Amino acid sequence: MINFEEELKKYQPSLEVGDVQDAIYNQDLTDVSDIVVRMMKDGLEGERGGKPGMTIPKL
Amino acid sequence: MLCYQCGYDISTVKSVCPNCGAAVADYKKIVYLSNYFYNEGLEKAKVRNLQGAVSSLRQSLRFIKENIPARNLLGLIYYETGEIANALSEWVISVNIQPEDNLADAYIALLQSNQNRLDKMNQAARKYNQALDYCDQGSNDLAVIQLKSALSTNPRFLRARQLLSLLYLQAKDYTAAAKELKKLRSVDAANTTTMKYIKEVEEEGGEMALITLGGKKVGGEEAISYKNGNETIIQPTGGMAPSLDGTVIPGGLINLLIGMLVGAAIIGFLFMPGRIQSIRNDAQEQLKALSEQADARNTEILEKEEEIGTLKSEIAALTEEVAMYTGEDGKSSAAETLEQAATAYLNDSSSGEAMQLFAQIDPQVVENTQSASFKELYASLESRLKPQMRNYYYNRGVEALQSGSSDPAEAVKALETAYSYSNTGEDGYTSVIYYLAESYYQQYMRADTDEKENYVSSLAKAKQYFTEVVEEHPLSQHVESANDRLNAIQAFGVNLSGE
Repeated sequence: MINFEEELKKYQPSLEVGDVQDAIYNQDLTDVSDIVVRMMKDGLEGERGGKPGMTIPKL
Repeated sequence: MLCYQCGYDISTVKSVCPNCGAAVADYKKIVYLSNYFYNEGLEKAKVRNLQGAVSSLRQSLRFIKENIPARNLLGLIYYETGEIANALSEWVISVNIQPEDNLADAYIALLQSNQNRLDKMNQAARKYNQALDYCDQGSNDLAVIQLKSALSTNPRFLRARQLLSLLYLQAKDYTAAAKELKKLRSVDAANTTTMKYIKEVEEEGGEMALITLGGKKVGGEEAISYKNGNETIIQPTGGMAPSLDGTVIPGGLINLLIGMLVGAAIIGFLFMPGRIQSIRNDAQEQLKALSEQADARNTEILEKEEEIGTLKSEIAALTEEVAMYTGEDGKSSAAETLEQAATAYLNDSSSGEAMQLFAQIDPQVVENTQSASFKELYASLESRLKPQMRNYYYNRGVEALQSGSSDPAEAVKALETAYSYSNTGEDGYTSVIYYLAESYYQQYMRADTDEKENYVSSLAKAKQYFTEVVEEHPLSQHVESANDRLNAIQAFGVNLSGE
């Protein structure tokens, strides 16, 4: 038996065309590759005397 | 595949970019993962598992946001499910990432080419949001109206239709819910929300809801879809329905027949009752008129029958009266016989002819007649003939008896006549009785053995008259003979109780 109130909560408002621009700007497009690259760059900087103690985690 | 640092093609290198020396091994693994999920999403989209495809494509983009095919496909799926703003968003990002040689450009151009359509789809999204607000306020009826309006504008709007189905389920209108769920299934075959609602209909809805739910449409054909492990099996049912004996009946023909039946039913239920009622009313009017005519004629017939009955009675009375005068079948009437008897008496007062004629007249007829002169003449002749008649018939009877005839019926008849003209106590009365008894006795005795049972009544009468002689006239000369006969009758042992 479906709980109507609970089920209703799962429905979110639909994005309207006028909101697309804001949605794009506010969207966090960071992906795994960004994180990995940043981590690798941070690791290299550490080796060069950057932030101490930073290691690049293995994927 | 390009190096994340310098953009050098690193498709053929393993771990280090030959151009900038960047470590690319892990980066390449991420790219592979992104492509893996894109391929999975594509496979799912091909079998219209849109929800699963969205999930895979999102996963793909989480690894590499620049995966243009994945983003474009995600936008296409959003567009397919009526999420026009989301589709546009993905395509815009895609074009921004790769401005050149991007399919998303064509999609955006296609949308922008028909501004009216874009507005309508956006309006549908607005109505969906409005419906959600109504739901929050508890105004489900208004929400249903908004959702129906949204779906009329954008029939592929998946979320709107799912919400409408949920509202129907909440209202326990399972048939309407089933109708919407069937359409949902045709857009997204394995959507978990849709499946959950279908299960609800299957469990709670009635037979009608299940029939309405039926198969799903794939490429314009009705189909039944189910999952077997990881595979989605779609079985088309088509327009050709196999019959019980295996022959195939064209779906169009079935539809035509159903249409004809429905048409006949409409005529039967809507038009025929009124027509039948009209015909019945006319028939009842005619029947009523005929019944009234029949009643009038019946009354007339009854009156006539009564009149006929009265006339018949009158005719019978008159016929009876006339019969006394006219006679039947050539025989003389009582009046004529009386006239002849009187004439014979006048010619010869001791004539046997006068007595014979007089004896033929039925005293009952004389009593019933209306003619006073007839009665007077009969009484006068009777008074003159009566003494002679007793003797005349007595003599004839005794003579017949003594003749030794095998059938003494004539003797019996003559002596009965003599007896009828005799009076108790007058001379010769005992002899009349005795010989009358003797004639009956002889009638029994002279009968053949096998016919004697027909003359038991004669023997009974003989016993009656012999007993009268013995008991009423003990001094008579016939007492001894009568006693002998009584003893003989006693000796016969014949049962005379029925006499």
